[in-house]
Amino acid sequence: MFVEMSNVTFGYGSGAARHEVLRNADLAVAENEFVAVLGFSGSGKSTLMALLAGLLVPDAGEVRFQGQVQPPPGPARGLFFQNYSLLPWLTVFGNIELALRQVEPDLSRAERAERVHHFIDLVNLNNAEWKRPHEMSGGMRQRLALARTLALNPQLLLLDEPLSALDALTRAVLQDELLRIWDQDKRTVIMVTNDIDEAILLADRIVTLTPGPGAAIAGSFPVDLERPRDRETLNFQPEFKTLRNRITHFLLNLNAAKRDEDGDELGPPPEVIPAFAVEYGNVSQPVAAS
Amino acid sequence: MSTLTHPPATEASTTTTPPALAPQPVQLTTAREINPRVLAAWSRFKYAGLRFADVTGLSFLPPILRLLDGEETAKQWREIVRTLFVPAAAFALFLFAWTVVAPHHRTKSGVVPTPSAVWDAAQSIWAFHEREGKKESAYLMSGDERSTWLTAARERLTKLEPYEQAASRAVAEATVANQQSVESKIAPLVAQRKELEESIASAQQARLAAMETQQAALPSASVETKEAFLAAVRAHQEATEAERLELQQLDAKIQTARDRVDARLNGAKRTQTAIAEERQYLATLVDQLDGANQESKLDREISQLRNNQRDFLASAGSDILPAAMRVVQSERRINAVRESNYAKPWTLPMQIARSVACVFFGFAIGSLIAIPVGVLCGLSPTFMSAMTPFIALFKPVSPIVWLPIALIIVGGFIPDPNNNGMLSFLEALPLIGWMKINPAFIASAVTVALCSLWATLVNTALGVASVDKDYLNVARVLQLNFRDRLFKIIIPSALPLIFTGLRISLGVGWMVLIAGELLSSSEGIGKFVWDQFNNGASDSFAKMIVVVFIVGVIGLILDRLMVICQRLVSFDNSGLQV
Repeated sequence: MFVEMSNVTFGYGSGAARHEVLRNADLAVAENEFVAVLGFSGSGKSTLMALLAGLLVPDAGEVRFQGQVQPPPGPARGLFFQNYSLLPWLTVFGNIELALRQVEPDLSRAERAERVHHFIDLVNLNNAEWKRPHEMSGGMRQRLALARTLALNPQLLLLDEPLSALDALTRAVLQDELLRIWDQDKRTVIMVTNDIDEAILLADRIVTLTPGPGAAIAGSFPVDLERPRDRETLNFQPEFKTLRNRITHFLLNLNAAKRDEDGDELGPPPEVIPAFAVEYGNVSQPVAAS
Repeated sequence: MSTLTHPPATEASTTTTPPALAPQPVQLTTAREINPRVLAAWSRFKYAGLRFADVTGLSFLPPILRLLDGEETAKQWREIVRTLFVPAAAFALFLFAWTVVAPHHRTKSGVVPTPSAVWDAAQSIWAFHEREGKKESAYLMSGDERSTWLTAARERLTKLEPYEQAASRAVAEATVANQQSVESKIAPLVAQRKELEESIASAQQARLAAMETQQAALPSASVETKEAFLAAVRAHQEATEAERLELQQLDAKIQTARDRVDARLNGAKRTQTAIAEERQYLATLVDQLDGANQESKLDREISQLRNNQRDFLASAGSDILPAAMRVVQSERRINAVRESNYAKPWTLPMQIARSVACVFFGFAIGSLIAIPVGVLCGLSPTFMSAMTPFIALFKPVSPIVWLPIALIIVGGFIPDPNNNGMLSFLEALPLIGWMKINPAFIASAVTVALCSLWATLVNTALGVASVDKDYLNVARVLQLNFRDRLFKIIIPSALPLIFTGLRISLGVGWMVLIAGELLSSSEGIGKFVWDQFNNGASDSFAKMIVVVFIVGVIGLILDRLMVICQRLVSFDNSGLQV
């Protein structure tokens, strides 16, 4: 397998203060596969990504990347940080250039500028080239973070909620963009998202995280919809609807099971908010009600 | 006139409006149509101004700019009142209180100077500086320029004579008038004193006589009567003491009245001093232009050389060697005169420049130590632990302690200041050569460094240690090497805090420097104050107060400079968006 997680347990603190985030999580992703990870908030999605990127080392179990056991982090596993982690003293150009300089150190100044502009074009930040992160909107920052991650030309793209802060319109554009980039230049992608529609649109396979603490990977839903996928027609395909229902029910059951286990009346609110709630009123009803 | 053929854009637009509109109050934004280009230029100017005000922290500028733009007028006026009028009024109040209170406090160096006396002192400091500059150039002057200046200076000297006579007459008259008024004020006091003296003498005599008679009648056996007598003697002593005190108080009053110098005499004396100073200056100037001038000295030396050369050629036998020696000596003197310069005394503007140079020199030394050490402290908690005792121990040490130590250590490196390679190199440099950098200067700078580096060190360490973990994660994903991680992530992220430290350091350094110069007698503002304190001239006190304001203003400027640097490097400062 290209990326593999076996029996990974990870937690913060020790003794009585220990908060276990992941317990015996298993995940295997094949080369050039696009996997979406769905989970409730606080279920350890970002921790999972940090483990995959090598920024964190598991307490038990191991993470393998291209056969290596827990290699140190590097540009080969490009991580899109959920809070962007843009360098505030650098401009849009500077942030992308810093990444490019690392992966392609031999480029001349002009060539590098050209490559930087390519990525700026890709995420539509042309007018903001010399702006610094604090001068931009949340959506612009998110696009910049995506451009920087893509500039690393990673073999494994780890996207931690890359489109969550965007408005619906920009989000759709960037989803198409992601799809196009992936179709054009196949690579392995693991993406954390809270949007089932987005997951189905983009992924080859969807896995879900059980509610934390001590979350594990549960359920794996292959998405067999034909590529290239078109968001306009996708909504009307029966396979899409069935898959969507199955995943929603699965997630709700997971949450209910967790609540029974904890004896907790409310439980964590599900983060799964269908983007087209009106169309699937019958399915979204219980979600909206709870 | 070109304005007739090409009227300015704003006027052109007013001609299109009907005349009925003309008397309306001018409102920049609405009533008048303004050429869009002018409007655009104005808005560019306004935003540049707002940005400038933000970067420099001049809070009174934005409301003025906004008011000119007609933006929320009432609010802007409130802001202007708060940021401009209130401080100005407070300062005016301060000046008023100063003017009223100062003359009532007498000191050994005269009354506390009023603001106007301080202003006069400032002008006299400046006049001294300008005159010394003129003397310096007079020494090097030659040819026609020299003779023109000489004539002008001599003319002025002749013109000054009647003024001088008038001034001494005025002083004499004022002295007499003052004397008379003093006498008339003293006369009743003196009479009072005489009266008091007499009454005291007679009272004392009476008491003594009474006691003597009592003593004769005193039975030797009775303890009670003897104790009563003792009490009478005690009372007599106390009364005598009280009478002496009363006399002393009256004497002090008389002395104060005698010392009184009225405003007329003071003014006359000031005028006389000013004229005398100018006269003295002109005399020196004439000397520098005439006999002591470099050119005239050279002329003299050259004619001397000619004579010596002639004597040498004519000499024979045992006279040849002494004649040759005289020629060589003449040549050497000519070279010395060529290189010589007017021995210009230090003036306050020169001392200010030297102080500023010294504070920046010390600040640079301090920063060069503090920033690298601070970075290391921030990077390694172990190193920080190793440094903690030094920081804790040396930070509170006063400049008064550092300075003598620095003087000794610097003196150890420079045993002979007149013959030191580095110092003579510094003296040959174009811009700072005239400052005559000496061991005292270096010791003052080292003291500034030792006292000011702590703020930068601690802030740098804090900035480096508290780099956002996310940025370090970015560095890990990018696999930056140590150098890139340091220079591209850690230091940029710590820069705002580093500059906060630098700003505090410069402020501390400036305060420390004045004390250091005062102690080390290194030419500078501190030395000026010390000289004035020891000088005891009538305007010394006022000159010291001038220095208070100068030190304050320069400190303010230094702080503003650092604020600007700080704002320019702070990436999160939303104010920079303007």
